[in-house]
Amino acid sequence: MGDLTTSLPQPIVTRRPRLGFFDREAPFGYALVLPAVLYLLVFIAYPFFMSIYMSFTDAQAGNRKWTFIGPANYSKVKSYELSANDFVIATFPTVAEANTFIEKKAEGQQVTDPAAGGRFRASIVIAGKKIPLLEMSNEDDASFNASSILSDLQWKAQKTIGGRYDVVAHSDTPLVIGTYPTRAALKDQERQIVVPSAKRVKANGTGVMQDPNFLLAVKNTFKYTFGTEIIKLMIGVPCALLLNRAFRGRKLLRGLVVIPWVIPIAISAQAWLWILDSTYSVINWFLVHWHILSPQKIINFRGDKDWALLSVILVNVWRGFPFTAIVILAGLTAIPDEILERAKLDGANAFQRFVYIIAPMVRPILMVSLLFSVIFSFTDFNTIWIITKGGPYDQTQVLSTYAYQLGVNAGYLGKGAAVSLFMFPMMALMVFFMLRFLRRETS
Amino acid sequence: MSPGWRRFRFDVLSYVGLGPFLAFALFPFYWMVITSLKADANLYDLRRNPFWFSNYDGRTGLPYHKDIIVPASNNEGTIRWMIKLGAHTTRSDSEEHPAPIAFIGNQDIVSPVDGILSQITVPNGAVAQPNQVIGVIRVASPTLTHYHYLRTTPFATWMKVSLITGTAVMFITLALAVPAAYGLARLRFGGNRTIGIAIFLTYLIPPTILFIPFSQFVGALKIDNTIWSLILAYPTFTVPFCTWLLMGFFRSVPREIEERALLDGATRMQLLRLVVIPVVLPGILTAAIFAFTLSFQEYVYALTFISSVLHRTLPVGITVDMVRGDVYFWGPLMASAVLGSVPVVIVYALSLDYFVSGMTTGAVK
Amino acid sequence: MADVVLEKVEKKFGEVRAVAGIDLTVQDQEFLVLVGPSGCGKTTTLRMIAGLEDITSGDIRIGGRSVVGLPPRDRDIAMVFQSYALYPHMSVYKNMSFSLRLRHMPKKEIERRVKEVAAILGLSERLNRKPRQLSGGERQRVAVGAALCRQAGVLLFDEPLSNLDAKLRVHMRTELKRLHQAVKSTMVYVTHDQVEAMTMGDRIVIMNAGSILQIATPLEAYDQPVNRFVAGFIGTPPMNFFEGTLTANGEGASVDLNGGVNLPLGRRNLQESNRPVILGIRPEHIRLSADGPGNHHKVPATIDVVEPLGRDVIVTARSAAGVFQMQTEIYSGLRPSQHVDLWFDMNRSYLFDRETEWAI
Repeated sequence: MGDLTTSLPQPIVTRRPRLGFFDREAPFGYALVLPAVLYLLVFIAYPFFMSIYMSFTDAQAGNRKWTFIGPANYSKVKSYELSANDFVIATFPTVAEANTFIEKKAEGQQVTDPAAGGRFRASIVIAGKKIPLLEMSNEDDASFNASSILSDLQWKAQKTIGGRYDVVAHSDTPLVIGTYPTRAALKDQERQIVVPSAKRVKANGTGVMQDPNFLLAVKNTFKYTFGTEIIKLMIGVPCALLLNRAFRGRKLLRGLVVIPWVIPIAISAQAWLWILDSTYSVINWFLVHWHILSPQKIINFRGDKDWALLSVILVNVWRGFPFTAIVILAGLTAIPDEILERAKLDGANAFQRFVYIIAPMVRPILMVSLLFSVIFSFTDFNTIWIITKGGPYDQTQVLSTYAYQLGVNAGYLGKGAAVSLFMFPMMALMVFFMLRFLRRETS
Repeated sequence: MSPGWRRFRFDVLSYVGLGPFLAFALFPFYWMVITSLKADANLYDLRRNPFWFSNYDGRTGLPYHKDIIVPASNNEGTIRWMIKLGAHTTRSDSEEHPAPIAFIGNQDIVSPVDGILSQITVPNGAVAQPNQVIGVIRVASPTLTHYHYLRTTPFATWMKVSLITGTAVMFITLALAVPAAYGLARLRFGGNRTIGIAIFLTYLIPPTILFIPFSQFVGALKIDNTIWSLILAYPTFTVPFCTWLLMGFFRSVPREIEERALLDGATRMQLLRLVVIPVVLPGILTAAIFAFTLSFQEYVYALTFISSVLHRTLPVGITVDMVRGDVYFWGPLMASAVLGSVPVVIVYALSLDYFVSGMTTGAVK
Repeated sequence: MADVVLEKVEKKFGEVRAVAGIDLTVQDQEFLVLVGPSGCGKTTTLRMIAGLEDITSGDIRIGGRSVVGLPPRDRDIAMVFQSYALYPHMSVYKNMSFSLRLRHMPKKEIERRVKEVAAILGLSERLNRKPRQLSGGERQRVAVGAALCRQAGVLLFDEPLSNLDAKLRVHMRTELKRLHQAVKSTMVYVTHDQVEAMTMGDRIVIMNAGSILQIATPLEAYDQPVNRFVAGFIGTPPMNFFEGTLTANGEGASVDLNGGVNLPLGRRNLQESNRPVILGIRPEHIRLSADGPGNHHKVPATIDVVEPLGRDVIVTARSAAGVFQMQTEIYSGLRPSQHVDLWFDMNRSYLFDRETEWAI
C-alpha cells in the first residue's frame, strides 16, 4: 500500500450549496407525479363525470344541445300492464270430481252482470254453478277476459297442499288483463280479479329499467362473468399444477400456454368465429363424423341463444385461463420446497398437500387476481361483440355491448351512458372487497 | 428403475397431462393458419378431413378446379373468357368479370386473384361457343391465394395505423408513467399513498364505461376519426397499468444506491436519470411491451372513434371490413388474423420472461 | 480540517425518539466507531451526519460549518454502505469515478485518482468488470474505493463488513485500519460488533436506546465501563453479573452474593452498607483456585459445559451465587460435572448500583 497523502492532490473544494427547488423531496415528487395525474384527471375523471351527466340528459348522436331530463333514461314508466295466470276456478275433494268438472268446460257459459260501484262482474256458469271471475269498470274487458279464461286457457286438476284438487286455468303466456297509466289504477284493478290467480305486473316505459333487453343484459352479464370465472379456475388450477412440475422444456410450454392471452382478442376471436361457424364449424364436423349428430341437426352455435351464451363463455375462458394459470403458478413457485418436502415427510399425500398447504398459500395471490379477472369479465366487450354482436335478437347482450348498441349504433347517447354506468356499482363492490382483502393480507 | 428412465417418465407424464390444455390453447391458432392456406374449394368441402389439406373433391373425387368458359354473351371476334364458379367456391377467389385473353394458340392464363397459372389451348380457326369450357384452373392447397387477396384490402394501412398508434402510445405512456411511478414509489410527499391508490383505481375503470362520453369528448376536440383520438385515449389504460407495474420495479431498487448517488453529488434529477432509470431498465422494457400490446389489442375505442375504413386499427379493420354484409371471407379473414398476430408474437417471443413477470406483478402487486 | 461536531442532535420518527439529543465531537483525522445493539440510533446518527435524514433539532457542524439543511452532496462526505450500494449498471471504473464525473473534474485527473486508489486496493485488474462479476470482498473494496476517490473530509462507514464471511472480515478490518493511517481523513464507523469497534476505533462511542452511554478509547471502555450495559456489551464472552449486597466499613468492603458466597473487595474508599449492587466480573478474571494467590475466598462450583476455542476454553459453571462463564487455558483439563474451587479476581471486578446500573 502506497503513501496516499503525498500522492493524492488536495480535496475538491465544495461549492456553496444551491438547494434547488427540485432537490427537495416533496416538490420533486409532486413534479414527477403531476403530468400523469393531470392526464388521468382530464381523460378519465372528466369523461367519467361527463358520463354521469349524460345519463341524465336526452343526449343523442348528432344532437348538439342536451337537455336535462332527470332519471328518465334510467327509469320512466308510461304504463303498467297487469297480467294473470293459473286462475283457480274451483276446488274439489277428489281428482274424479275435478276431472268431471273439467269435462263440462265446453258446456260452460260466460255471463256478465252489473256490480257495485258501477263495475261489471264477469262470471262463468258450469254445471249450474256460477263462478265469479273478475270485476271491472269496463264491461267489454270483463266479459272478454272471462271468456278467454273459459275457452282459450287450458284447464287441469292440480293437487293442493291440503290434499284437495284445484281446477286451474293455465296459459303458456299470461293473460293480459289490461294496461293502466298509474300504479294506483293498476292496484285498483288488481283487486278486482276475484278468482285466485298468479298476478304479474310489468312496467312499460322508455327508461332502461323498463327495457326487457336491458334486464336480460344484466342477467347475461352475471352469467357470463361467473360462468367464465368458475370454468377458468377449474382449468387454470390443474394447468398451473402441471406447469409447476420440474420437467424439461417447461419454459417453452409455459410460453405456449400464455399465447391466447397475448394475441389481440379481436384477432384470435376470428378463429373462434370460424370454429363456431353455422355451416362449417369444425366442432359440428367432428360430431357428424363420429355419428353423434346427424348432418341435419348440427348445432347453430351463434344462432341459438343458449349455445351463443355458452360460446362466448367458452371463448372468454380460452382467452383468460392462461392468466389464471400463470398467476397461480406464480403463487406455487413462491411456496418454498422445504415446506412441501416437510409435508411429504409428515406423511401428507398429494391431495392433502394440495388442500392443506398449496391451496391456503396460493389463496391470497389467487384472490387478488380473481377480483381483477371478475372486473374485466364483467366489463368485457370485445369477446361478445365479435362472436355474437349480442345476437341472436339481443339474447346475448351484456351491459357493455348493450351500451354500445344503444349509445353508438342507435345513437341514444344518454341511455347508452346510463346502461354502461350500471357496471359501476358492481365494480365498486369488487374494488371494495379487493382493498379490504389487501389491507387484511398486509396487516 | 434407473434415474434416467424415471426422469424420462416424469417428463412424458407432464407432457401428457398438459396436452389437453395446450391443445385447447393452441387449436384456434392452428385452425387459423391451416384455414388461411386452404383454397376455397378445399375450405368449404365438408366431405374432406378439415384438419389437413386436400386437393380432390370429396364428392366426385376429381381435382379441385375452376372452369374457364366462354361467356354466353360472347359473339364474334375476340374470344373472352371467364372463370366459372367452382362447385364449392363462391368467395374471394371467384372473379366473374370476363377479362380478355389473347386469341389463338397456347395461352397462359393467370387467375386474376391468386396468380395461379394454367394453360389453355385455343386452336387456330376455332369458333368459340358460348358456355364452352376451354380450359381449367387447378386450385391446389396449400396456397397463398388468401394472402395475395389481402393486397386488395387496406390491410397494410390498418397494420400501419396499429403499429404507429402502439409505438406512440408506448412513448407517451413511458413519459408519464416512469416519473409518476418513481415519485409514488420512492419519494415522500403528502398524499403519496392516496394518489397511488387513485391511479390504481383508474386502472379498474374500463373503457366500456368511458367510451360514450369519450367519443363526444374526442368529437369536441375535432380529432374523431383520426389516429390522434386513439393516441390520446389509449394512455388512459396504459398509464395506470404501467405506473402500477413500474412502482414495483422502482421499489426493488436498493435505497442505498440512491443514497450513495446523493452523497456522490447527484441532484435528484441526475439520480433519476443516471442511476435509477438504468437500473430498472428491464422493468421499463416490460412496461413498454405492455403499453404496446395493450394498445395493439384495444378494440372499443377504435371501433367507436374511427369511422373511415382507412383510419381503422388492425383488429377493427379485420372484424368490420373483412366481412361483407353477412358473408365472411374466411380465407382472407384467417390470413389477416395470422398476419395481424405476427407483431405481437414477435414482441412476445423476444420478451417472454418480462411478459410473464409483468402479467403476475400487474395482477399481484 | 474536517472535524464533525454534533450538538444536542435529536431525531424523531413520528413519536419515536430514535436519537435523544446527543453531543459528540469527532476530531479531525480520527477513526471513531459508533457501536451498540440494533435500534440504538447509531445508524440514524450516521445518516444524519451524511444528510440522508433530517435532524429534528440540534446542530451538526462539519469542518466548523453547520450543515443542517444542506443536501448530502454539499457536505464534503463520502459513505460506504452496508450493502456496498454499487451501481449495478456501471463498471468498477465508472462506479469509482461517478462522483468525480458529477463534479465535472477533468478526465485525466479522474483517471489518475481512480487508478491510484484501485492500485492501493488491488482492483487494477477489475476496473472494467460489472459489480455482479465480482466476489463479495471485491465489491466491498470497490465501495471503499469509490468513497476514497472522493477525497472527502469525512468518510462514513455503515457496517461495511457485516456482509463478509468471518475470515475476510478479519482481514478487511486490518486493511481499513491501515487505510485510515494512510489517508488520514476523519472516519466515522458504525458497527454492532464490539470486536470490530475495539480493534479499529481510536475512540468508540457506545450507544443504547438513542443515547450515548460512553465515549472512550477501546481500553478505557474495557477497563472502566460507565455502567452495566457498557460492561456487558464490551468484551467476549460477556461479563458475568451477580446480584448481591455491598457492605463496607471504612477499612474493608465485601459483597454478599446469593447462596452465602461472601467476597471481600480490594477497594477501601467505600462507606455504604447494605447497598443492593450488581457485581460484575469478566470471564478471564475467574481462575481455578490453584492458580490464584494464597489466602483468597474460594468459590465452589460445578462445571456444566466446556467449549474449546483453541488455546482457551470457555467454561460455563454453576455456583451457589448463579451461573457464570469463565475463560481459561485448555490445558486445565476441565470436564463437565467436575466440582472445582474458583478464584474471583476481585481487584478486577466491577460494582454497579442495582437501581441505576451505573458503576460505583
